[in-house]
Amino acid sequence: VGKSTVAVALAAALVARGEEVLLAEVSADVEGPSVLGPRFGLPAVGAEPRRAGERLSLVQVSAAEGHRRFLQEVVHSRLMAEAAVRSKALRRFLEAGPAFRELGVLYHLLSLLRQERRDGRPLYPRIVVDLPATGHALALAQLPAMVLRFLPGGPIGTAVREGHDFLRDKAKTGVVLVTLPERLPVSEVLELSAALVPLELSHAATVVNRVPPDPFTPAQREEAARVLESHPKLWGARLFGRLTRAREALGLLREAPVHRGADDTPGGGVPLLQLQELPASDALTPSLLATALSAGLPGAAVAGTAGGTAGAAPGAAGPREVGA
Amino acid sequence: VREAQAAASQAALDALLASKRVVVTCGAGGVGKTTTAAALALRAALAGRKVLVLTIDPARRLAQAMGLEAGGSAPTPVPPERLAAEGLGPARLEAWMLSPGAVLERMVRSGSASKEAAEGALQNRLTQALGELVAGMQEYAAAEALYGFVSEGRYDLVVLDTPPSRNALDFLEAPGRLTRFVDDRILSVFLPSGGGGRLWRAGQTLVGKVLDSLFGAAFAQEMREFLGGFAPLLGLLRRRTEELRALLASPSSAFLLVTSPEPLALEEARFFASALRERGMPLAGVVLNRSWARAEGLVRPATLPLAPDAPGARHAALAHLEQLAVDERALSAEHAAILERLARELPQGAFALATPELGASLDSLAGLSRLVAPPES
Repeated sequence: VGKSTVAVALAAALVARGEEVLLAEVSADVEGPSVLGPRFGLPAVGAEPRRAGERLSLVQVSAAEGHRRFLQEVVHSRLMAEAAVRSKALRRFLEAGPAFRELGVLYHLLSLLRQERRDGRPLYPRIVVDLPATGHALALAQLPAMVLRFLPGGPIGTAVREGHDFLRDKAKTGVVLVTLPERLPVSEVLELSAALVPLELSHAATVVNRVPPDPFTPAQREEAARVLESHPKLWGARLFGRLTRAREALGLLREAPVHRGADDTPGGGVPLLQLQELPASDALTPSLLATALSAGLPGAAVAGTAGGTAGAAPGAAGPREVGA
Repeated sequence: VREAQAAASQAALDALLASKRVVVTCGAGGVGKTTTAAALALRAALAGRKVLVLTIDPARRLAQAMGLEAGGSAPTPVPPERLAAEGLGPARLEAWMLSPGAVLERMVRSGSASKEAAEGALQNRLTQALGELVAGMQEYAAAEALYGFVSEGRYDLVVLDTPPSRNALDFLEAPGRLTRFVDDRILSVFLPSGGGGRLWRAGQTLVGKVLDSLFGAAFAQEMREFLGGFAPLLGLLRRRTEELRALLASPSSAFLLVTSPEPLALEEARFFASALRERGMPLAGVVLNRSWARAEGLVRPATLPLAPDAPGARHAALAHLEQLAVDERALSAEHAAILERLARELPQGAFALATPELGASLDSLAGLSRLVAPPES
């Protein structure tokens, strides 16, 4: 659905607003192939934030790095921590356990959020996270509450609680959902939005990507539909069908309770932003999207991008972490 | 030439649906993989085979079309009256929405030494947590369910829709990872048996201490019981992993890549193709979905007769349609070029097939039956 592009644009919009932004992508390996890096001319990214531009850094969060950082924090004896990190059995256990990978990713994020400057302000005041597709993003979001049921105490429980509190804090974390103007992605994004409620995650904005420009007036549309009814095998019929679906999908989104009143009532509903379709190869896409996004973003709220999108960002300006 | 290629690809797909025991669809999220898997299964079933389609998370309308319910503990047949109502012939088609919990239960029951042992393992809080856990469990469930149904032999063909995954390899890796999770060396950390040399034991004691401090002693104890319950399953799991690998690499299986013309989806398809090659798994072909590569018998709006006294709105509508037609032709040519490139990049004997645009009719079995079928004359 163009989630990564929106995450990049969101980061660019925040940078343009004068903020210091860390853009994070979830990676299978510590030094895995980077999706976002090439967009900034960086062939590799890695587990430590790397400069990608003025006020912008990139980082790859991964399970293995999260595990390493966690072991170093928890096992106080350095010798033992190193031995544990090196232990094949332990590494295999952490790699293979069904939830450990996700926990590792979350811990790597948490460790970035915790870092502070000398004056006590956060080193990364605003983090935009490009999350995996809907199913996995939701699995990631559900994990903390579940782990806390089993491990309320101990070092794991303590870290998970800290991360969980951060994610549920509306002032610190917001989720940006990205979708397309088609029926299926729209119903998916509405389901995802509903799924965020019991998880106490704040849905900060919905971005509809690739909205096709529609040249038809209602009367012209009616005429076109009549023509297509008698001549279904016409070039342009499929694009016309797409315009129709896009209009219906946008209508569904606007009428969904979660977005209702967003335009006219302050605090009325979750903002719904539309991004016009641009030629795929257009190098300007991120900056054009960024302009569109900064025009539509609510003053304070910023978030992570999921299935859509998710992100997080702390500080006076609003949420610290934003998911896309 | 293009039409001859399309016909050859269709023939290759039909031959595959007529002969394979396992067809696995893979690809990036959002390319219509689940719908394609359902359409493949339906086509094979309409051709007379007994087919099961295993899917993870079908869209509600697709599930409705197939009469599929969430959380079922066993496959559900697609009702014959529904097929008949949509003008389709009889078909023995069943579908199952994979639930990690139900799959885990099947696995524990089939692998435990006794009924009591199975109940004990299933009662364990951690086993239950494992079943509820979505993160990472879908891949295990898919692999396990595929193995289970193929070895039962109740179906001529099992079509598996793999879980959506940024790391598309997860499904191939999952069985191996599960056995590693409960393998001997990890068990020995939790359940020290006293074997091994002094240095080995010292190492295990160290790791054991780290685990105790990580999880807390009480939870580590719970983990020991849980893994103890799984220990008898270990040999079985390992055998299954091997057999599943052998099955997937054998000529009775075929992998189909599903992709859309989006650059990211294409990139993921290429990545997956090379991963399959590395593992010696057979890539049978690529299905280019959600593309406009197909353009049989289309005419341009500009060629339509238009009465001079037609209303202004009609003139404007046709002018807009003509502009859409120009854009659509450009896209269609681009998609056709993508299809050709995919065909060239494929290994010898594999096919590349474009699906038609079916829009909302895909919500019905009749629409589904046209997705991977030859164009209607």
